[in-house]
Amino acid sequence: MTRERPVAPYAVTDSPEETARLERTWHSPGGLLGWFTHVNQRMIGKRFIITAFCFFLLAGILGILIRLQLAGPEQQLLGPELYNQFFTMHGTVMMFFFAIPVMEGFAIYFVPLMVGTRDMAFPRLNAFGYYVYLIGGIVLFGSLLLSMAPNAGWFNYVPLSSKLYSPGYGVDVWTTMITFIEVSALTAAVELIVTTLRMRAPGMSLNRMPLFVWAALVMSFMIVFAMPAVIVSSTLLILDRLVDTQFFIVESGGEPLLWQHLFWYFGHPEVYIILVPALGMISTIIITFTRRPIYGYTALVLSVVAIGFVSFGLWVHHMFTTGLPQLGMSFFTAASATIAIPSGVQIFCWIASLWGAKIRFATPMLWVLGFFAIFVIGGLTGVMVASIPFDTQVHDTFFLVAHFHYVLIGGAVFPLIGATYYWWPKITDRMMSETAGKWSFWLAFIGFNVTFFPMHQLGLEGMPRRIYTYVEEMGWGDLNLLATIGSLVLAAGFGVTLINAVWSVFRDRRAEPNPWGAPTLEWAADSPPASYNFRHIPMVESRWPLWDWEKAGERAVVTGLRNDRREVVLTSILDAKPVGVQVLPEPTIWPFVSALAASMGFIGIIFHPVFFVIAFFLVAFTLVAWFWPRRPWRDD
Amino acid sequence: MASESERGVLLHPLMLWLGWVIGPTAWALHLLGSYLLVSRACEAGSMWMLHATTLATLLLSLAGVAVAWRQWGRAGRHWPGSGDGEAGRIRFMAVMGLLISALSALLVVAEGVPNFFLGPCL
Repeated sequence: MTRERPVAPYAVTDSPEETARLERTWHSPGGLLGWFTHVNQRMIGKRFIITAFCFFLLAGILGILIRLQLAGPEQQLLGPELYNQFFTMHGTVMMFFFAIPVMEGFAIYFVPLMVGTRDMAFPRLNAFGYYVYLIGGIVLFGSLLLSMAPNAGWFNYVPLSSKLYSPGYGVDVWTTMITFIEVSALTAAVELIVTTLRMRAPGMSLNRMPLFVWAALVMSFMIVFAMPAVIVSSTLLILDRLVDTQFFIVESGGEPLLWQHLFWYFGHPEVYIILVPALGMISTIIITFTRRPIYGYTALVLSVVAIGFVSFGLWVHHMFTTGLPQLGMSFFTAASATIAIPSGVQIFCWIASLWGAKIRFATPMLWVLGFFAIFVIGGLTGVMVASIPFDTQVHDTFFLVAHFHYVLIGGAVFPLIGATYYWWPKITDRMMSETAGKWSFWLAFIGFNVTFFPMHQLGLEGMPRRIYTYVEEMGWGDLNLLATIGSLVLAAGFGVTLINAVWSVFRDRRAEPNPWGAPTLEWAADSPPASYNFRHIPMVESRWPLWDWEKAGERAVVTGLRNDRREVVLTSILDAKPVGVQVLPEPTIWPFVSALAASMGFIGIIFHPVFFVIAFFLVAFTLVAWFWPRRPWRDD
Repeated sequence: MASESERGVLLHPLMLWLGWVIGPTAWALHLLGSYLLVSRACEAGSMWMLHATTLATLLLSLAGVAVAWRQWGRAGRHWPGSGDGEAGRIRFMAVMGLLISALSALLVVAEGVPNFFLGPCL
């Protein structure tokens, strides 16, 4: 370990040859075939983010079409069958193919940068996870074009989704797609956990870890604990449909409620899997734009961890109208109301951080402030529906639709767009236009509220969700028209950001390495970061390393890593003391081939069980190639 | 010397996770146990099993609070910051364990309250 000073006897000197050698070592091959071999974490992270936003756009268009259909009574834009497919696809794609992957994408891109390392622990697994996700998404939208799309709602309840009531391929496509996303999410979660716990820069003990990294860590543990439940439920369902097992068939002693238990044991934490990383983004943005340490670091970490585990005890609140014992349900009411405590702690810590600070109202900060307004309303209706008598009244009405769009769009999408503006200069080295950013925010904020606030009232007036139309006498026409107009404004708001992003790439407005004056390590890398992320692995002595370095005018770095192979520093879990060096694998095509083989099995099983066996052996073969060891006598 | 080794055991890196784990485990046991026992309580016509579950898991989560409290005391009872090197990190782990276990105890109590007001057969 040595210190790097501008001119000093101990300064680290970088010869251009060594830097070029390091660049060659971490370089990702070019060309079309080369594209499929990339394993560097930033490549994979960027692909996750871009792909997820493409799905956001597609599912958003479905949402607009749903709104246009509901704009007036007895409209004929979409027939009932297409409407069912559209709302199922809208929910499934938004939850599984946008929200989870985009959060994973940001975590994959920024966690290694924020903890000061050069890649993630298992780079090839990362690539595998991405291809599985991409193939799954393409097949899902392909099914819509073939009119084979799932149509039983995003939570796909039995018995509606059983072979008897859904005889087509739609539900099979759904269960298969869930498998894709489970595999992809689990690989990302394992990556993030190991990277966060073992690859932090020396000195970054757990109490100095950036809050976004904490959030990504909690999200990853939640994925590991929640996903198995939906793996089990979708497997049982596909067995019921494919080989006539009777897990959910009442006549044979099966239990339809088992589906709801298994699904929501995953489904409720899922909502928080999306929310938790967004909380990390908000803390990150608040720290930078108030330009001072956050109030209550320990309390904020506590809240994120607490939200993470309490979210596993709420699932029955989705089942309040299923006739379960009242006393049993009341336990879940208690837990549902209690999760408001850690959520409230977060909000109060943020308010305290903003109080008296010189806030810079740049675009990322605006989206965070928008989050406050929207998420608090969503939280309040959440406490309302946690109470069984109220929930019984509004269950399956538009009140619920309003509630969960307030928590999901307010809680996750607004911070996400804010984080996109915030980290855009790091990803692309361009600044997005502030004026367009503010237009985008206000359009989205107004459009969002005009769309979803009236739905509370529609729900209280009794309008059920998932109906493709309604008659004029119900008197729901005016508010529905208002909501539809709002949805177009909301879409325009997001559209402005899309145009802003694309335009910024073609406009020559270069960003500085640290344009916002942020304190965390990702801003110590170049914009965009070099293929090796950091020329030297940094050393950390507090929570705000960049502010320290600014003050001290010098910084400590790790030296001694070889430049001719992909070496990273391993550190201890609690204190991040250096304990070893790991050599990471190089780019290869095999994760892609392996993902193709696995996908063949997942998709083939819709048509015949034998594909499972074929894919099993194909995947085994590709894994052998993937893990083919380096020659031990070669030192690279 | 005895107190030195006790300090070593109490503040061992693995022991520091105790507060983080005991509380949520106790709470999970309470939620699942109570949920499972509702139908039993209805058959038996008495609530003692549910109350016993609440009491046992409450004590368990309070044990988590106690362990974390002692760890915090050993590491110096200041609010954890990012300084102080290893001692600061131990304080952080201990305070987190303390608060997580305390929140778990609160959850157990909140979930135990309906047992006094609702019958198991409703």
